Amino acid sequence: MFILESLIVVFIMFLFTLGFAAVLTVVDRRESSMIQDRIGPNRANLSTSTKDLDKKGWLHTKLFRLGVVHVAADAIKMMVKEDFLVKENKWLHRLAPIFAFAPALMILSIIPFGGETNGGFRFQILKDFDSGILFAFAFSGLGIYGLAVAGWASNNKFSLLGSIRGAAQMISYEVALGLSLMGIFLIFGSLELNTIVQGQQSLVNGQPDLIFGIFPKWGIFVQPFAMFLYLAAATAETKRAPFDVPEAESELVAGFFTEYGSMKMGLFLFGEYIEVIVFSMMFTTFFLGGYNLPFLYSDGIHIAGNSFLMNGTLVAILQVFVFFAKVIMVAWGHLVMRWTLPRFRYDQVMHLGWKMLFPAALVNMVVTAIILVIIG
Amino acid sequence: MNKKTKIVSNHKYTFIEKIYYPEVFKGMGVSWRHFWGNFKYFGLAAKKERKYTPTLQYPEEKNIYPDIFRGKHRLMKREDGSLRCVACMMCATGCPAQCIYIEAEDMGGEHEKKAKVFVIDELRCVFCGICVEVCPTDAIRMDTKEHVEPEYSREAFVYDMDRLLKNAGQSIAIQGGEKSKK
Repeated sequence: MFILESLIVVFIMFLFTLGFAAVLTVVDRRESSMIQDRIGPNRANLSTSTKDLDKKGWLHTKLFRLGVVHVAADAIKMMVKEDFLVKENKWLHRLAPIFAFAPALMILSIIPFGGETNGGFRFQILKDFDSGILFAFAFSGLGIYGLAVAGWASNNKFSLLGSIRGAAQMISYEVALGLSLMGIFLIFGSLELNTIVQGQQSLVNGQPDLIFGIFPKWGIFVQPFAMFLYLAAATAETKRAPFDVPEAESELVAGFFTEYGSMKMGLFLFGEYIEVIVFSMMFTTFFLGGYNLPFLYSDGIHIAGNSFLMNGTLVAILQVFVFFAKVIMVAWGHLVMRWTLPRFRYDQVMHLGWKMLFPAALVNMVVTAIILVIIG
Repeated sequence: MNKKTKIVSNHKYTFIEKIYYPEVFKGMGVSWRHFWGNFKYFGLAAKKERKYTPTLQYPEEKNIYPDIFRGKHRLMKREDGSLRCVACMMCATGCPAQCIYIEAEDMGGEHEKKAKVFVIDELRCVFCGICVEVCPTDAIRMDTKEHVEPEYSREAFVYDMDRLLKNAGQSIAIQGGEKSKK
């Protein structure tokens, strides 16, 4: 029974993550074209003839023109292309994409994506895992190994420069990333993610636990300053614009994966989208109330003193959809941000990380602690 | 010497700009406006419907050329459907690229001659339009507004009479000869 439950949870989580990452690859290309006033990829089509497309119905004129078929076209292209190998450091070169890809997937195991059903079934892969977020920090820190190994094994100066930049950027952001979440831990008193999510919207003596009687205790309301710090630090963690110095196209060709081809490069690119999803999930968990919907609690809807009781299992399943909807919206905002902001210079990244985010996160932690002591 | 210099004052960042986040969200608003303006017409919308994107989706949409554009040649026909060309050789003589080859044929009727073979090598043609200018019978025109299509061999670019007559039209211009003087 335990194995079956685990399999169901793992299946849902991976189906969403990998499927959404595949969709993101084409959404990223098509959305960027629309933001930049281009037409973008819309030529891949399932029909062999391109004549009289406008007479073939909405599937051809709308859906295929959105670039939906490009997901398949990209995958086939990646797999069929020549698998380029360097002579030196052959095994490191082969292992690097896996090092880069796997740690991001590991973080998925601790994220709760739905509430608890009546039978005690919870939508979380590793339940009651006390080190929780430390585990996530550890594995997101491991992601740098894939990048560094790829740059080193490629025997290419552009690659090495990219990986060194990535490593330096990672060090300067890990600190601020960890410290920015300290306030959350102080308030909810736990490192375990499900406890944090439940604490953000809970019932005390059958009544909703609200701030000023209006807002739920979501991270965005109890720690608004930390939210901005985390947003900057975690965006740097995903290595995408405006913090994409490790793979800066205009300076370093493609950075650390210059010497990779076919599906190995595909894994780096795909891993980047996985990281975006993991970032969105963490952001949702800490600051947007995780799987909580406003007014919806584990035993039904409580709104302005009235309560409508619902089945606990139904609520838990509803919360899964709520969580994934929030993740999709955060990932969408992340993509828009990526196509809006220009890249930071390398020294500006260092400056931002060490001189601005790090002290700000420290101040945030101290102020939160003082307020908590005063409130009691 | 009095140098003309323009002193540029560097823009000092205000506090709002220094904390960066309001500007980030402002920029994302611009991105969103462009995205939504284009998303409404993501399909096969015509160029004039789209608000921002000026790109033509080529095989479906084509640019409109001006009337004086000199494109692929075509031959014209009389009202009765016969060929207007009287094989006077004016175009072949005037052609600076020598790309027109005509063989004449005796008609023996109202019109003395007509072209039996009329060949234009579109690869040699420089699209100067002199053949159209000199034609006394309005038999050859370059008003198709089409480019010469790509082919796989050089021979395929040599257009014979059938291909030149493919989009032939009727010309009602009054042709020379005794009858037209009446």
